Amino acid sequence: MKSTKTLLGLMAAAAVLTLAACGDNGASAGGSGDGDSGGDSAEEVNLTFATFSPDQEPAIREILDVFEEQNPGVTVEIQIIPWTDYWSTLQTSTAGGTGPDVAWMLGAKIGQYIDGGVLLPLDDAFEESGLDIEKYPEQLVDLFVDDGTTYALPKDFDTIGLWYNKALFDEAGVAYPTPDWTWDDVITNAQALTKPDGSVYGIGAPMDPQATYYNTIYQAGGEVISEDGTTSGYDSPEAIEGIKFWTDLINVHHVSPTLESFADTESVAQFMSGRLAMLTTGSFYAIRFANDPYSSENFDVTELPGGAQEATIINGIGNVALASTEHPEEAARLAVFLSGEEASRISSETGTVIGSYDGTQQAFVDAFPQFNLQAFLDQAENGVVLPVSRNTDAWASREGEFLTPAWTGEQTVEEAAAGLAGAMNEALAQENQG
Amino acid sequence: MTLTRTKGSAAPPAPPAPRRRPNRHPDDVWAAILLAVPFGGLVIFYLWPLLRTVLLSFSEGTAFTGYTLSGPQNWQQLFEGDDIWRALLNTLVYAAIVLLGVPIAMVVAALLHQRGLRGRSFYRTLYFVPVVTMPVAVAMVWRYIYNGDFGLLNEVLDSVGGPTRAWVADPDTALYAVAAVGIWMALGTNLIILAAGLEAVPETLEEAAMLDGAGPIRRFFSVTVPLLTPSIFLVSVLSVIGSLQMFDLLFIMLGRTNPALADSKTIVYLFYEEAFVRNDRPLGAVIALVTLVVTLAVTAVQFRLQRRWVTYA
Repeated sequence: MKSTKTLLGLMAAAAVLTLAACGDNGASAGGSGDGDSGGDSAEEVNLTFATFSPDQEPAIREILDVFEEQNPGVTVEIQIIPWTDYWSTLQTSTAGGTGPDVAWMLGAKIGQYIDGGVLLPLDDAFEESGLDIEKYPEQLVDLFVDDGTTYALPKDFDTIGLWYNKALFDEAGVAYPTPDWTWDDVITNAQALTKPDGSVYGIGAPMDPQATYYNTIYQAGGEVISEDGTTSGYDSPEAIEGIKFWTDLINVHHVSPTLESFADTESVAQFMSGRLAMLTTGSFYAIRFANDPYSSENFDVTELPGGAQEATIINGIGNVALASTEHPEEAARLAVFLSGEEASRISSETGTVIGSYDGTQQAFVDAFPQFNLQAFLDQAENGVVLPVSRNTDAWASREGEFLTPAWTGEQTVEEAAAGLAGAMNEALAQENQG
Repeated sequence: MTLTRTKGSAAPPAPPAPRRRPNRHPDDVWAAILLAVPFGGLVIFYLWPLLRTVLLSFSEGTAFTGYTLSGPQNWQQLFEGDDIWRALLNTLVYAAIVLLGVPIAMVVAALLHQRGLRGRSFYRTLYFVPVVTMPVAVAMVWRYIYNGDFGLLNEVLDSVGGPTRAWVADPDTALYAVAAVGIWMALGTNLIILAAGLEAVPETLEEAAMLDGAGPIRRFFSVTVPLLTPSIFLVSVLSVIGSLQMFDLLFIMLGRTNPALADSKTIVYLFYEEAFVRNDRPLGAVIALVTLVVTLAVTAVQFRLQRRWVTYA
């Protein structure tokens, strides 16, 4: 039948052509800016605020209610975009002029936005707010300042600590970790905690830059990226030592599950199910651990063990106002307010995150008294900001690719690090010439 | 009625020959209007983006600074690296494996078509469930089944003394493990199309074959399959096109720090990585176009080959 054949052909052709739509990156992420277009009276201002954390929504809503009260006529709508889509959606919608008015920003991402000229300077709004710049962690403020212009202020910060499961320590008769532990102590005690049948491992060694190997690289005296952001630090002996600590935990000391195991069940889930006695991870997990009965009862946290020097990776989220907004004044004011003292206090009190504004942090420590959250604050002074460049993703996305063979033991750390340094230098060269 | 008609036909009206042209004209206009709607959609949603993608693939820049035409260096960059070849190979292997689902669907469809089968629609619904389930949910469930430490599959294999491993974290098995889920998910759609094809096979032919002494298996291969070939062809083409675009299962089942990822990336996964993780949209455009060309080529080959084996009754 001729018609059947034609029909089949048409169907196949349509299916093939559907692919072409894949390549269309523009204009696909609309539907967000409708908050601005309304407003019958000139007084009314509707702003859209984009965030990637549903966990923080209650605290954010509380903060926004205060803002709306202080700014009559302004209403703010929260737009939650899941983490996996957040950056591509923000980028395309901003480039297309349909983006939110205010949005969350990270140090690793802001470079491209500043270069693109799509952010509003917040200096005037900050001046007007009466906030004190000295009250913010300096390293984090620097992340968001370019050429003396402030584009965002940190709303919170997080550091990495050594979480441990008291029940597993008690069971093995091992004393709890203390702030003066070294990494050698971690290895010896992890050996005592590991059960031969594989049901409990002493520590988790996932391939997670912020939670694991970045910390030890800086503690060993190495660096991920040079001060001026032009070259990779991965091929230095110190960086290699910092990475090797983690790969040895798996491949030499056998006190951590393998990378395959972490791919199947993420490290935090393994920790929460009592399979790991220790895990280095961030203050941002306090709220999740506190909400889980088993974790809340058995977990505690202390400072990271020390290496050649003290260091913990510190990171924070900033709030930016986008230049495409129809209400630049209100948007800038909102961006500053979301990182201000009031917002900081609400964030801390709810235990959501550590508020960035000095004087509000004690509330975070008090939010979950079952954990020694003070450890995260004590470490902040040794905080090393999560390493970034203008286009961080271009090289950070290759870390996993190159370090995987080191984690699985197929390559030495030296080989893997050399390969990564090469690729990273290439990416940085491209970034600096562009 | 019949009577009046016969009566009326005694005096036929004069053929309205001169009036045929003005009569046909409005039809043409309507046809043009009605065709313009889908054609406009085609231009706006497919051809125009396609053109833009081609332009983008020859450009450089970022989303904020805008893109300017700069020559074929993106194409060079892609084809000088190993990633694209690896991804192409993985994608074709995946498509080939999922194609094995077609004979499976044929057998199931034939079994469901048996005369006197009770609860046929129940079984059909059962097989169709994976199709209407979100791929992400499907992937999450299978992730658990394949889990190396706590997975259901390992538990079952362990109890019978079979080999256990981290199925989706092991570079040797990850792609095959994902493809198995791909087959399972596609089964429902394939089944529906093939079942419809089976309904169209005239029962008289089956009966004739039966009178000639053909058993059920002989009847299946000599009568049913040849008459089913148009449906089999359609299912194969759709299955291959779907496989060439595979992304969601891999994305959810493997995750970003999986040691098997480097050896299992498909071409659309590579596209996602370059365009949305590394923010290199022009390179992403190149990969999207490569996908289009590969899909067109594979489909063209399938159409060429169909002449040899597809029977149109």
